[in-house]
Amino acid sequence: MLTRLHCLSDVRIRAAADEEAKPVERYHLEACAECRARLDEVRQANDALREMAAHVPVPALLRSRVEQALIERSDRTGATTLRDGLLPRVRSVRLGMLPGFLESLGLVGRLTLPRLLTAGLVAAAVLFVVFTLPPPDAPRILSAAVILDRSLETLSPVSGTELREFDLELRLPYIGSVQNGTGRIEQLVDHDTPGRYRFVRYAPDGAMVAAISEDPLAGRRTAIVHADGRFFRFRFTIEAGHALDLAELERHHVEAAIRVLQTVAGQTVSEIDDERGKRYVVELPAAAAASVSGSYLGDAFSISFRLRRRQVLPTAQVPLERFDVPDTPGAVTIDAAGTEDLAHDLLTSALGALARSR
Amino acid sequence: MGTSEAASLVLNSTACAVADDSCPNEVLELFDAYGASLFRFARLMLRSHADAEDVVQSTFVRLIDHLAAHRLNRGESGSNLRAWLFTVAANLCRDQLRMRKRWSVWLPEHEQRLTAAPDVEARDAMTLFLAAIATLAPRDRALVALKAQGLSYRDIAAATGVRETSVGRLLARAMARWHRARTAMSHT
Repeated sequence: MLTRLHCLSDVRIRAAADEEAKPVERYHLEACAECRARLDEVRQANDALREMAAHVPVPALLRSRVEQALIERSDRTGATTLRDGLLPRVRSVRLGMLPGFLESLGLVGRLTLPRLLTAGLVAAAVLFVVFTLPPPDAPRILSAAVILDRSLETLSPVSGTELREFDLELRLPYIGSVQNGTGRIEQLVDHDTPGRYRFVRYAPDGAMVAAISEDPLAGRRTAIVHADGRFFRFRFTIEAGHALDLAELERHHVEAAIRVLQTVAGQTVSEIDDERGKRYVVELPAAAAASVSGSYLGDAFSISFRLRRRQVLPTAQVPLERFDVPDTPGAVTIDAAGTEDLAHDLLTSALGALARSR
Repeated sequence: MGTSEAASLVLNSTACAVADDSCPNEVLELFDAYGASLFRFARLMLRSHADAEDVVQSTFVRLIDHLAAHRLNRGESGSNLRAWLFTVAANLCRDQLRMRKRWSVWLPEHEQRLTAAPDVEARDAMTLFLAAIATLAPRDRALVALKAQGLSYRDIAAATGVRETSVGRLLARAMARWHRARTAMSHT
């Protein structure tokens, strides 16, 4: 039995204030004015905490946002493995066209971390399949150095103009406006002229999603961005020496993708620090073919990638207009001078156009 | 989350869709009961309104699966459901904190939809309150934030992974740290 000589400890006083006291402690509190005074102090602190917490403002639209998510979630019936409702959606976090463009190229998603990671995962998976797919009897552990070497080899294997077409099948939880299904990627690279290429990506419904082309011979770089239901066509004039280094771009892309994959799927990618410096070890699944599947943040995804066509032509036989992006009637066209920094060019020219339109 | 757990959730999700089309309505009723409290908890944990909204949304979307499993497995009291909601929200907050990078995009519209505090003094007090909470380590923050929502030691233990017998001691320390931080800030 507790007596006045056995006053409660601070922890037990707190427990009493939190209605967690034992009967014997409650009995003591009735008898001990000193402990009651301490109890009152703690209760006052509790009240202050609860009162302040109760005044934390709740967004007025939170309920409708949750309701919308629930409706979208419940619309999916049957044994689907796509559960996109679970990824948080922050539609408000959009920084205009630049992220959308990068996202549509598969480089990044909306500027929220889950999107970025998912997009990176996709990019990583695609790159691994494209650049590192081993023959069935090959070792299934590859270092990042090997991946980078192979990617660079892939980019400069021939002379002439190379056309590659890929089917890219996506079954993803949610990445911004990316459509699930089988889309197409078309890459045209002039191996005889550094920086001369055209990349176009088509959605499963055949509509162009994004495109970028550069032709140092014609002194132009063009990028197509689809945002808010319309196309924006950025046309940059470029000078000699300002061409994008495609190989370097791919190298950064692969490195970023490896790091992202490491972050979200540590069981397949590990980082080793030894006397040779930092290395990545990528363990490809035993069943590695042109597809990758798994779970991300609890949501199932699958990606398959298939080379549909590869053709090498003498550059002279390729019409000049093939190195420009496809026509996009009705597109908003923005002209500007280009530098070697594409992202900077897109942003500043878009902002400039916006300022002029006001 | 492991693949098997994901697979289990997918199965549950299918079961919910097959078993009962009223899931969203039921979940919305639970949102009306616990949504504000969950948001406030997440807001104290994360410091960002947008992140806290994400956590609340994800928690209630996951509730659909949970309710489906609950129907299949029979009864669960409202108290357990509340504890479950806070446990899921706490886990999501932890995930957010782990994934948060140094760069986070802030836009004015993140704050636009909030109800303004009634006056300058109240706004200052709220700022001080949130700033003091933000100085706490994540576990202390979780303990204080859950306590602020009136959870019992048992529920706090479930949500934080702390032993129930340790909650009182850890909470006392966390509250003392919060109080010290608040006092120090109010003097600066």
